[in-house]
Amino acid sequence: MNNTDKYDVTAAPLDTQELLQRCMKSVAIAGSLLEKFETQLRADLVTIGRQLAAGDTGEIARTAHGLKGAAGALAAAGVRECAARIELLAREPNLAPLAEEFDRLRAETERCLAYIPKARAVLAADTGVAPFGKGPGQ
Amino acid sequence: MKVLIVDDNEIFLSLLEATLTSAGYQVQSARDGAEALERVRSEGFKLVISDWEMPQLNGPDLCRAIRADDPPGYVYILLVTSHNSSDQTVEGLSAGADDFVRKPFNPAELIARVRTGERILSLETRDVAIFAMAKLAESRDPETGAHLERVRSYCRVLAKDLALHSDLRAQIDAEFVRLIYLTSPLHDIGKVGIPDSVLLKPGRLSDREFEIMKTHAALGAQTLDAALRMFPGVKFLEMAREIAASHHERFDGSGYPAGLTGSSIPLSGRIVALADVYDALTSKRVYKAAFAHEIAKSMILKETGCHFDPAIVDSFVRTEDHFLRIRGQYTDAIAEAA
Repeated sequence: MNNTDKYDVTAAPLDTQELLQRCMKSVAIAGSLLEKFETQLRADLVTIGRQLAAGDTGEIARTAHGLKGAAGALAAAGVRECAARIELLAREPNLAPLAEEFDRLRAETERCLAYIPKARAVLAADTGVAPFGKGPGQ
Repeated sequence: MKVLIVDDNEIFLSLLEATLTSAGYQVQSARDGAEALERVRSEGFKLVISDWEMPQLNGPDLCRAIRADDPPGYVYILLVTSHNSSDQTVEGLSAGADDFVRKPFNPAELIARVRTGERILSLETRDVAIFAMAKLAESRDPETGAHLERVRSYCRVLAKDLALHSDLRAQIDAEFVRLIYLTSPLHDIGKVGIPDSVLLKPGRLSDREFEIMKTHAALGAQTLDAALRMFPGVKFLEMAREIAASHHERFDGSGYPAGLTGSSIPLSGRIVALADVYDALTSKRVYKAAFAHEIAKSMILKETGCHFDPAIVDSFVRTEDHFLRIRGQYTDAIAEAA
């Protein structure tokens, strides 16, 4: 499976305009969600890694499902796609594809985390209002 | 309006809360199905928005638990889900969900769906008005206490059981069960037309007085006919009329006002007949003490095929524990039963 089939890895990992729409154009809400998403992304990546090492596929599917939902809400298409595939692969008996997909999730998570400060700046620039949370230079 | 949102994901809770708060709702949150169920029970939420996937008690389980609780008012449940298959839609609706919102949700769509839920819930105002009208009619008789509450609960128990365990099942669906619960309190609405000298007479009625009392069935039907002429085809009015007209008919044809027999008596009337008589037997009246359940049961059994439809008597026997529970729940004059 090629993870580039479904989304463009060169595109921004998080669609700030879509996020703003979902937050009813409230930069404050978007900023707050970004902060929570940042925390969840880091935590879920560690959790899935630990669950993968333990071979606990049921829990992997559950964590991935939660991450898929959160990434969907934040318009983070890449993370959402990886999490969705991990949720599906966790139901298969062979763990090898799952491990490969986890590597992709890690890469996409890093890309997304690196982009979040920029996303805050984009939101602030588009609306003239600084989202709260850890913005660039803060 | 108060809304309970349920999700184990902090991000979704925040997004739901922000969206609903912006639309003017008072939002409270629960982090799993078990906490949500407890809060619905203790805080009386009428509108619940729940995630599908949650540990332990998931969205459909929460729907089933709320429906099984059978709270006094309707609880409108909206499931938020990333599932998109028709099988899962059927599963959610069968579990008792009223509507769905797909993840990630569009705020405008979510609010529109919640507004729809509010409209559905507002129909309960009509249900309350119907019951208030029945209570008003009943209020002339100081002896009846919680008679209407018990009768409608008995009717619902019988209808649910008959839908599962009898040859009458083809005539009973969820709408029938809902309607009989809603309209059975109107069975004696015609008593508003009975003079005080007859209705409130302590002791037994003379033959002439009993003839006057018997007119309440036709009077009730006429009253509801007038409403039906203004609002033809309204289901709850149709069933209410049917019940008012037929709840004193007897299976063997010896009842009133029309002397109908067997299945020519509307099913709703046959069900209310048993529920009404059971409650009268187990309640204290000026002219009699309240009978114990076992005595009332034996009197009803003796009337199988005479006063009562045998299938409904069988249902009564199957559900007598429910009757006892309802009787215990609404105690007033029945407390003197041996």
